[in-house]
Amino acid sequence: MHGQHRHLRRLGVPQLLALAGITLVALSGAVGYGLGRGGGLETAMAPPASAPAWRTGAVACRDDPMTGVPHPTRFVVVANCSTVSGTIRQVRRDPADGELNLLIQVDRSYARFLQSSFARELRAAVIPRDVPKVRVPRVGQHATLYGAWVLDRNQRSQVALHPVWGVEASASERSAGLTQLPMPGAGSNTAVNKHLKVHMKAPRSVPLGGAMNITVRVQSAVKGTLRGEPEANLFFEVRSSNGRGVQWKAATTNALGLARVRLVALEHPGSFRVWLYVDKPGRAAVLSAPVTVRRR
Amino acid sequence: MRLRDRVTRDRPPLPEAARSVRVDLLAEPEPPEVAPPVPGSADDLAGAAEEDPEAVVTGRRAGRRRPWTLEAAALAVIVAVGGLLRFWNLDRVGFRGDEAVYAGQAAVLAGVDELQRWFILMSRGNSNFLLFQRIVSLAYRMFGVSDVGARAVAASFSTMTIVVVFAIARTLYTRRAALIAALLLAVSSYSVFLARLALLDATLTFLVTVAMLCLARWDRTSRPAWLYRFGACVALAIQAKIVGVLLLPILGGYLLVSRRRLPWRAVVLAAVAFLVFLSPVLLDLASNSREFGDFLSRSSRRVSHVPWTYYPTVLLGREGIVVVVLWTAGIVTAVVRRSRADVIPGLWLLAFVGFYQLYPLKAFNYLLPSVPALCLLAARALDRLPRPSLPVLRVAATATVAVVLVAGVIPYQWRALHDDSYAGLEEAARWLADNSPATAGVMTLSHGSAQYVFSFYAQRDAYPFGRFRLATVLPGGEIVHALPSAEGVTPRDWVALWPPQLLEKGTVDYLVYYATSTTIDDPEEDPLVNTSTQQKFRELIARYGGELVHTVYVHHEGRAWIYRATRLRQKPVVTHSVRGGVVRVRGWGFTLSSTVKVHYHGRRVATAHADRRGSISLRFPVPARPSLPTTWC
Repeated sequence: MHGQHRHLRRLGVPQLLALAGITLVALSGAVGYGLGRGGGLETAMAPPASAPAWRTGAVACRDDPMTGVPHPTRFVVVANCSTVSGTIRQVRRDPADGELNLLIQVDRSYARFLQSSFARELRAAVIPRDVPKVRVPRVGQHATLYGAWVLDRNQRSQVALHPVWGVEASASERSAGLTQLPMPGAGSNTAVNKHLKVHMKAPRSVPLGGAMNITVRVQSAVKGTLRGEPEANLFFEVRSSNGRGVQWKAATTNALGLARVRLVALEHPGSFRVWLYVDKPGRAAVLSAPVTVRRR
Repeated sequence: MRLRDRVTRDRPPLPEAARSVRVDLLAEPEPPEVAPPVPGSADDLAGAAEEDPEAVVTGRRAGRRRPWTLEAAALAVIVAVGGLLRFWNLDRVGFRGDEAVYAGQAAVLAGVDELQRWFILMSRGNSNFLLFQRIVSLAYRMFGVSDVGARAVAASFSTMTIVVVFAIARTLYTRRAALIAALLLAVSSYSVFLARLALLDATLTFLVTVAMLCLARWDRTSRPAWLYRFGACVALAIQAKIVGVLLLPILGGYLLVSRRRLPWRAVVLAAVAFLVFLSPVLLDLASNSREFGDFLSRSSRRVSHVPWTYYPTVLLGREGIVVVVLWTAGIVTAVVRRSRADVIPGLWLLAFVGFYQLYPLKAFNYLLPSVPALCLLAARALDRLPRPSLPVLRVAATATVAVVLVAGVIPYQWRALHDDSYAGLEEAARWLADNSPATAGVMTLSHGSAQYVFSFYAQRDAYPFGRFRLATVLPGGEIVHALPSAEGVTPRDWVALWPPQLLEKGTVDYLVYYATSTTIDDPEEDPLVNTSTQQKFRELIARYGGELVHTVYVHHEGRAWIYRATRLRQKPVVTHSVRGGVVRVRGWGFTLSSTVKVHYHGRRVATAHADRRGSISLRFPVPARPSLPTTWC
C-alpha cells in the first residue's frame, strides 16, 4: 500500500509542456541577454563561397603557400593558388614586418569573391623572401596577381591574396614599364645591378629564453672599395629543424650599413637556423646561420 | 486529492525507536509522518519498490536490514576519500590570477593594509559580492595570509558538498543511490581539480546544492521552514557568485511542474529570509551602485570565441569517458523514465548547463554547479540497474562496475592532483620580491588577472599584457576600463597602447613570460610562443632590450622567464645643435648604462655613456669637414 502511494508518477503531458515552456523562455532569455550585451555569438564575416581560379602558365602553383609567411596562423587558407586581375591602387612597404602591401581594385568579374563588392578592393601582400623576385606595377596600372586566397583572422576574416608570388602587368600596359620597389632608400645614390656583400654574425648557441643578438653588415663595392649600404631591407626568419618558421623580424641597416637585431629565444630546446633575406632595389641576398637553443 | 496529500495521510506513524536512529545529516527535526525512510522500514521498502516492485511482494530485502552505522561508515569513507583528494598537497603549485585576486581581497578584508594598493573590495566583473573572500578572511585572521588557507576554504566547501549530495539523494532516492551519488562526486576529477583552487565555484556549488536539498526536503515534507532556508541559500549563493540567481528559475520551474500552491505566508516569509540574507549585497549596491552598474555593463560584453562543443570537451578532458558515459546514462534514464524524483536534479542541470551553453562568455570552471546534479542522476541510473539474483553474480557485477569506474577515474585524478598549468608564476614572483627594488613594476602575459600573482606574492606593482575585456585595477586603486572596440572585437589596449607607454615612462621594469603546462608537454604541436598575443609580448621584450635575469625551472623545464627592460624607447631619439664651433648632441632611448659612439662620415668622433635612464648628452668640436654629424650607432 505504501509502495503504491509512494511510487513516483511519470510526468504528464501538461508538466512536460510546462517544462518545455520554461526551458524555451530561459534559453531565449540567455540568448537575448548575450546578444543584447553587444557581444553576442561570434559573428565573423561570412566567407565568400569560393576563391578565384588559378590561371596556369605564367607562374607555378605552390603546394604549401604559407611557407615563409610570417605568423601564418593568422590566415585561413581558402585556396592554395588563385589568380586575380585588377588595378593597383596602393603600394607600400611595411617596415614592421617587411611585407610589400598592395591594394587592388579587382576587375568586376572578381567582385563576387569579395565579402563587400562595393569598392571591389582586395588587399594583397608580397612576403619579404619573394620581394626580390616580384616586380610590382605602378599605382594605377592594371595587373594580374598570383597567390594564395586566404581569410585574415586579424582583419575580421576579410579575404586577401596573401602571399603573392607572381605579378604580371597587363599586355596593353607593359610598355609603360614596371616600377622599382618603393622601398626606403630607393632613390639613394646606390649602384644598380651590383651584388651585395652581406655578413651576419649570430650566436651559435643561446640558453632557452635568452637574447639572440644578431649583427648584420651590408656592403657593396663602389669604385673598388666596399661601402656600407644604408637602408637595406632585412628580414629574419628563424626556422626549426623541420623547416617551420617560428620567429620573424624585419629591420633596415643604418647609415653605416649595420643592423643589430635582438631576437628572444623562447623556443623549445633544439636546432634552429636563422635565415636572412636582404634586398635593395635590383639586388638581393639570402644567407643563413645555425643556432642551437639549449636548456640551460 | 493530490498525490502528496494522499501520501501524508496514508503513511503510518514512524516508530519512535526507528526515529531515534535516523541519520539526519543536517540535524533538522522532521515531522514524523513524512520523515525520510529509515533503513529497513516500510518507507525504505517503498523506496525499494520503486526500483524493483517485486521486492516488496517477495520480501526479498526484508531480511537484509543494515544498521545505520554501516551507512554512516560508508559515507565517512567516501567523504574521507573526497577530502583526501581535495586537500592533498594543496600548495603544490602557486596561485593563478583569479585565485590571487580573491586571496588578495580576503587579505585586505582580514586587515592586511599593505595589499590595499593592489586589491579593491569589488569584483571587476561583478560576478560576486565577496562572500567567499569574507570567509577566507576569517581563515586569514586565524591562521595568517597564505595561498593554502584560501584553497583550504574552497576544498572544505567541496568536501561538504559530498555530504549534501548524499542528503539530497537520500531524500529523493534510496540509500544505495545516495552512497553512489556521494561516491561519484567524491571522485569527480573535475570537482577535485576545481576544489583545489581558491576560486568561487566550490562555494557557489555548495550553496546551490544546499538550496536544492532544501527544495527536495520541502518537496517531501511540505514544511515551509525548508522554503525559508531555500530563500536564504539563494541569497548566499548570489553573494558567492551572481549566477546563483539561477536558483530562482529552478524554483519557478519546479512549482510549475509539480503544480504546487504556495501559501502567501510562506511566500512572504521566504522572501523576507531571502532579503535578510541578501542585505549585504543591497547595502553594497546602495553605496556603489554606479560602479556596480559600470562593471556589470562592461564585463557582460565579454565573449569567448570557442566552438559550441567547448563544455563537452572540457568535461571529457577532465573526467574521462567512463564518468561522462555514466552522467549521460543518468540523463537518458531520467528522460526515459520521467520520474518526479528526477525533476529537481533535472531542472538544476537544465538551468545551469542551458545558461552557460548559451551565455557568450565561457570558462573551464563554470559547469561545476552542474556536477552534483549529474552525479545524482547517474547514481539514480546505476541504482536502477537490474541486480542478479545470485549473490555471487551480484558481487561480481558490483566489482566489475567498481573496477571500470576506478580504472576510468584514476588517470584523470592523477591529472587533477598534478595539474601544474601555472607552475612557475609564484616562484617568479618570489624571485622578484627578493631581487628587485620595492618600487619596481612588473608586466606579464594575462587574460585579465595573472598580474595579480605578482602583487600578492611579491607586493610589486603589476600590469597585464593581453587581450581581454576586463577592467584593470592599477596600483593605487585607479581603475582602467578596457577601451570599447568596434564590432565586439577584443580590445588591444593592453597589447598595443598601455604596455609601451608604461615601459617608456619607466613604470614597468620587468617583463615576465611564462609557459603553461600544455606548451611544455607538447612542444611539437604547441610551441612556447604560439598565439598572436604571445608573439607580441616576445616582440615587446626584444624591442625594449629585455635582458634575461632569471629563469624559473619546474622539473627541469623552463616555465617562467624574467626579463629586465634595458631601454626606455623602442628606438633612440637624437637631437643636435651647433653653436660656436661646438656640436651638442642629446639622445634618449639608448640601452641603459651603455656606451654610445658618435660617427661622422664613418669616423668615430665622440663616445658617451648612457645614464641609468638611457640618455646621453655630449659636446665636441665641429669635425674638420663643416658638416653636421648625421650618424650614430
